[in-house]
Amino acid sequence: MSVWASLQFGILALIFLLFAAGRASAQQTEEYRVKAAFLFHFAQLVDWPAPSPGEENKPLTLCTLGQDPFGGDLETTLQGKSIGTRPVQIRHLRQPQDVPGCQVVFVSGRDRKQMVSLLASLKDDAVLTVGESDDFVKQGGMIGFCMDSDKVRFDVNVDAAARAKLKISSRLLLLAKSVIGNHP
Amino acid sequence: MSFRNSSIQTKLAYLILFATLFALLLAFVGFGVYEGSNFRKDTARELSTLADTMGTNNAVSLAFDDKRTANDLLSALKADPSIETACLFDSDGKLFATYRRAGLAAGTRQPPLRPDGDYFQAKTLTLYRAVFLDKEKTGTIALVYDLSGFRAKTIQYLKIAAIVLVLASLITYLISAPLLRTITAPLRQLAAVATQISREENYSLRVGVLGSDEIGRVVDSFNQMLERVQQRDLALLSVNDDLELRVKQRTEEFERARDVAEKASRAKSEFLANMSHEIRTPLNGIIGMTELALDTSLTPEQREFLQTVRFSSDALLGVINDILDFSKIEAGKIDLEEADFNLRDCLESTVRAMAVRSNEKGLELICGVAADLPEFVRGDSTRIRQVVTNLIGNAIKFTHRGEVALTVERDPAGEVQGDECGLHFVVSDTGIGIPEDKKEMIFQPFSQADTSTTRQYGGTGLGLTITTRLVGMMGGRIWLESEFGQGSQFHFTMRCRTSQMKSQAAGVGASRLLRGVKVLVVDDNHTNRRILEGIFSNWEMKPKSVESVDAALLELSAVRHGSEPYELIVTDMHMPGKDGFDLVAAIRKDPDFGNSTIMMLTSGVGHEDGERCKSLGVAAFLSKPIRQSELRETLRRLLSAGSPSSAPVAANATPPPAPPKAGRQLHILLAEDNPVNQKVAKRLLEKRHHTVVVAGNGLQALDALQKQTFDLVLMDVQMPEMDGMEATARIRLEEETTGKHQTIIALTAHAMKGDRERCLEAGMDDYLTKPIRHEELDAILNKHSADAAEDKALSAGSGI
Repeated sequence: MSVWASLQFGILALIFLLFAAGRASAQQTEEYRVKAAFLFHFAQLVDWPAPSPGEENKPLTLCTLGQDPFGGDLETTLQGKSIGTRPVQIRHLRQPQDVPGCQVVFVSGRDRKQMVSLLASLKDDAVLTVGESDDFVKQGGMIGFCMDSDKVRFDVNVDAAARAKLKISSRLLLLAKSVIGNHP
Repeated sequence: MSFRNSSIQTKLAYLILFATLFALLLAFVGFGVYEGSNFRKDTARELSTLADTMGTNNAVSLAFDDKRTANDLLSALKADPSIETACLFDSDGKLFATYRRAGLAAGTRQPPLRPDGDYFQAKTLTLYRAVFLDKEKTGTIALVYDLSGFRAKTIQYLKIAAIVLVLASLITYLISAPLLRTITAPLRQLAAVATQISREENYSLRVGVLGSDEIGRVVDSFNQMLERVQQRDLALLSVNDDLELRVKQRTEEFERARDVAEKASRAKSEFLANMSHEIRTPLNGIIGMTELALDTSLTPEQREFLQTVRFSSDALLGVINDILDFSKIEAGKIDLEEADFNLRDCLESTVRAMAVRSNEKGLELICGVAADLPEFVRGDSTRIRQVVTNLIGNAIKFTHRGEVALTVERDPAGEVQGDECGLHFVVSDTGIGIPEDKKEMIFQPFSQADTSTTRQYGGTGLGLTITTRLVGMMGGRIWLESEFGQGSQFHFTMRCRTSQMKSQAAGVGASRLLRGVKVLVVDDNHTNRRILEGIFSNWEMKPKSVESVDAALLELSAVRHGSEPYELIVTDMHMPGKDGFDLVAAIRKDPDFGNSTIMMLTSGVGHEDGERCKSLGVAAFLSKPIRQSELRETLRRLLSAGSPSSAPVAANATPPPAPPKAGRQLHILLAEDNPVNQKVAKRLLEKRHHTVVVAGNGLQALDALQKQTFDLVLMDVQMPEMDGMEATARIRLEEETTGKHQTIIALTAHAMKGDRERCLEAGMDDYLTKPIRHEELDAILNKHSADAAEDKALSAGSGI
């Protein structure tokens, strides 16, 4: 086979891949828009430790760790929203070391290493961890997105939350696909 | 029975019942409304809570777009069966989840999205609540609540209310009935006693005392009232007795007084009768003797004296008659007779009798009786004659020239009943007249228009008063139309019954004979012409009238050559300028006028006038005022004769002194106590060639009758020893065995009421009033001599 022929095949393959990636990307955009809204509602349905006096209006920080799959949807969805008296703030982090100061951390499912190190580093800190890999809650994450026939749903690890002294609303638990740990 | 008339007990029972029911009803309604409103409020609140809970739970489902969980959550509502449906809408208003109660009708619709609130409908309450998740609205929940439970509750409530009402009414009635009876029982008792009292009028009844409440007080007052009524009744009774006694006394007193008054009245009447008798008897002598004396040969001076005596005594008799009539009228003692008479004859003869006086004054005296008046009427001819004579006499007295006329017509206003005939008389004159202000006065007694008139004309002034009363008694009225200086018209009306008697006049034959005959009337007096024309027209003749001799001659020459000359000429004798004789002479002189039958009307028939008529070839002369019967009879005679007789027919030529009628010679018994009257009567009868036997009293008369047979007895009523009445009664008593009938004619000076009746009752055949008038005597003698002849003929016939 000639180089030219190989090249021709390579180009065709690339065009196909690009097309497929485009379709996948459109699906993913819708999915993350829902996940962005869910993230906010999760934050709403958690009993946060009462803020110290004078910090009632301190922003509640929502962070993504590592790769950001939202592509700006998060900002769009949470623009100007607040939880209780606290406005919502978004940060995109690269390293798990940057996590302190965040109340909610979202770990993209593709970055498995990041997820493990994050869960290990946070341990019992009062940070709501949200992931999207299938075994996220089993690994000690608190809320893990999962897909249920194209519908975005989630699992909850009540024990992990309890360890972090976070109380997840029973109403949220009612909606969870599965709940790990004891809950009333 | 209406409520108004029902008993007080019923009314009060109704009142109490209504009050109770009303109060209960009010309570029920208030309570019901309060309960209902509470129920709604509570329901809404409960539902709101439920919606909030549902909303809070479902907020998350909405947030996470978890319909399954949402449906699960909503299905928890089945715990409350009142929730029919529930809907969850998302923030975009789209239906997110629903719940329907099991067994709900298929048609039940989901509620549409609406703003938050409670929506009450007939059967449901729909409640909308927003769903928040941490202040963020995630949707709306709608709950539909079934209110049928509420309706069932309401019905239940109403049922209970109805039962309570019925029970309450029953209990109210049971409690109030005996209470009411305690109130109404005394009232009933009161009413019963009152009814009994009004029915039996027994005021001794009492109502039993019943406590001291209002009714008790009413009963007390009622009893007191009864007490007083009873007392008053007693008092009244005694007063009544007293009153009756007094009435009785008064009645007795009154009766006594009445008896006295009646006695006095009788005495007065007796006195009048006696007076009348006492005055008339000598007057009778004066008049009778004067008349007898006038029949003898006298010097002119003696004749004049005697005529004056006769005239004066006539006047005196008139005055006495007037006074007597007036007293009788004042005493109400005049009764009208009722007999059939010929009205026309009566009036015409009455007027004719006045002719002497009118002729003396040169007045035209006219009598016009309308043709349509009945021939015979029933009434008092004497009184009619008196009224007419009086009015005509007055008219003649107060008229110096011209005419006095009596006209009689039908008065339709007087004909009230079928057989009644209204008559309207007018006596008109051309005399001095009566001024307006005296018109009423002259009808008053003792009044004339002027006292100077009295002096000038004399008279008692009673005539019109008597006339007025008589007219009133005959159902009419009298009035006067007059203008001073222009003459007077006295009108009077009267009613009389139409008689069943028919005219015996040969009217039919006469009518046939007279029909179509052309007649010329020549008279200067307009009234006379009018009356003659009326009479002739009524007989279907063809009259034409002219007012003077010249006009008559003109008229005669005008028709001289015509086909229809006048068959008859009726001319007045006395006319200004040329008189009747001139006319006759002119006609007879000119043969061209033909030989019409000429009749002359004269006011007084002098001997020489008769001679002149005869010489001029006047067919007949009649004295005025004309009597229709006479005129008709004369015309009939003239026209049936075909040609005028050479000798004029003096229809009523009875110039004074009247030659006694050569009737049958009668044998007469005269019973009369007064020598003067004996003499007068005897002479009067003997002049009529009758033989007279005189008896001084009733006994003598009876003696005479025993000895001889008389054709006639003239019986004075008042005689000593035995009066005329008794004598007549005895004669009649005797006749009952013999079967004969002696004609007895009463002679009386009593012109009092009932004299005639008394005489006839006593069995007399007729009645003559003293002073005896020649005419009346003649009439009666003629009548009864005919009767006597018949009797004789009959007895002779039966004797064979």
